[in-house]
Amino acid sequence: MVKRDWIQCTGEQAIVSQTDRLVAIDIARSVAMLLALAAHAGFQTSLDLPVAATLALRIATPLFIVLFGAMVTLVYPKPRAKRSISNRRQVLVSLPSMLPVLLAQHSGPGLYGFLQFSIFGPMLIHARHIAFRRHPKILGDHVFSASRNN
Amino acid sequence: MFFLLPGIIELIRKTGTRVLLAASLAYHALYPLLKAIPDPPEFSHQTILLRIDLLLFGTGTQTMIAGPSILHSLALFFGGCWLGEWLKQTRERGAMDFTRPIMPLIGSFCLLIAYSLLVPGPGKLTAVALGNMHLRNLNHPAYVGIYGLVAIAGVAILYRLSSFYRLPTSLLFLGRRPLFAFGFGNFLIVLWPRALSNVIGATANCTLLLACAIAVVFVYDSLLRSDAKRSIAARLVHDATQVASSATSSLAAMIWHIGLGAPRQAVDR
Repeated sequence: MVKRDWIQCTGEQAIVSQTDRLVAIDIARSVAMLLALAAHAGFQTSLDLPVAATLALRIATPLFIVLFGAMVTLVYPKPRAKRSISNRRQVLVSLPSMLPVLLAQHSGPGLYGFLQFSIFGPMLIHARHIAFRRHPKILGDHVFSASRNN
Repeated sequence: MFFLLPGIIELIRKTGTRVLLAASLAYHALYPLLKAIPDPPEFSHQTILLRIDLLLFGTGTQTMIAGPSILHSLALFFGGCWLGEWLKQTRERGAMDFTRPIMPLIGSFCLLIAYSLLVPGPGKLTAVALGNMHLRNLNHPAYVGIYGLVAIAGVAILYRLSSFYRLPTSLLFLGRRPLFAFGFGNFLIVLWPRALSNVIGATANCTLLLACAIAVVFVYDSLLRSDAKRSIAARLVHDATQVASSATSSLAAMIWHIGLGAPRQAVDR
């Protein structure tokens, strides 16, 4: 049996086989993550770095954005047919149940953000479940079917 | 950016990445004009309008918010889209020397670097200005040009090398768990005692902090990759973070009403 693993793809998630993964993307993302952590850790510990090191650490953000664009093209390649007007009404009806998402989006970084997320997180998951039950076709069932399969 | 993503994807489908990359590079070409635009006025003694301006458009010479702005960073994003197309084509055709389609992309970023050397306006291209985020916060073309080129060329080289050398997948845990690594890592960094640098030295303190963050991400990744029954806590954290992320993108798709479509589905269910 092929080993399963999660892949991060612009907020959505899917299960793909290990053999489907682009190792180069994983390596590049690992490098970017390591550099970002190092840059933030250096700032927090007041570490004085030489210019060459700071130049290297600054690659993290552009590399993340480039990888973000690459993943969008790799994950969402094909256009889809337009949806009907009735679906548009369903979308408007389900919007209020997604309000906690907006609140969670505005939570700040660090401890304050963590505390806010711990409050809004369960609300968010609950709202998501409700919205999914009402409109499975709109929201897509890949997230929850993936969870159930695991 | 995530809320704009469905619209951007629709734009990519209609016009293609090359046109959009050209447009985003043209926005960088307007650097002298953008820097000449005066800062927006204060609103109730708050710099709200200025912050929105710096976040979206990056005009003026203020550097109070970390750049690049959304419009300036679109050059990197569309460059990544082009790179993704190249990766997809190369992978489907199985031709490893299929490098010609990516050369115009690299050339366009070289052109941006050359332009940044000549462009008038605030900010001069030096190693110090590039390293201390001065050019980044100014949205200078040199920042996007140099780092965009390094990132695109780096990923392309890594892709070529990955066909010759195989890295153990267990070493790539940071890249597999970016959401957890970024969220938990920043959480740990914020809570980490800065005063410890006075006791053990800044270098040792930084190394210790990094080691702790990396170790936790490694354990988290190991738990997820092991038997699911033994890693319920890790899976709960994973599902909670992923559902939050997924819900955000779903909401964005609903608002734009175009739908992103399901990503690639399971191949081995």
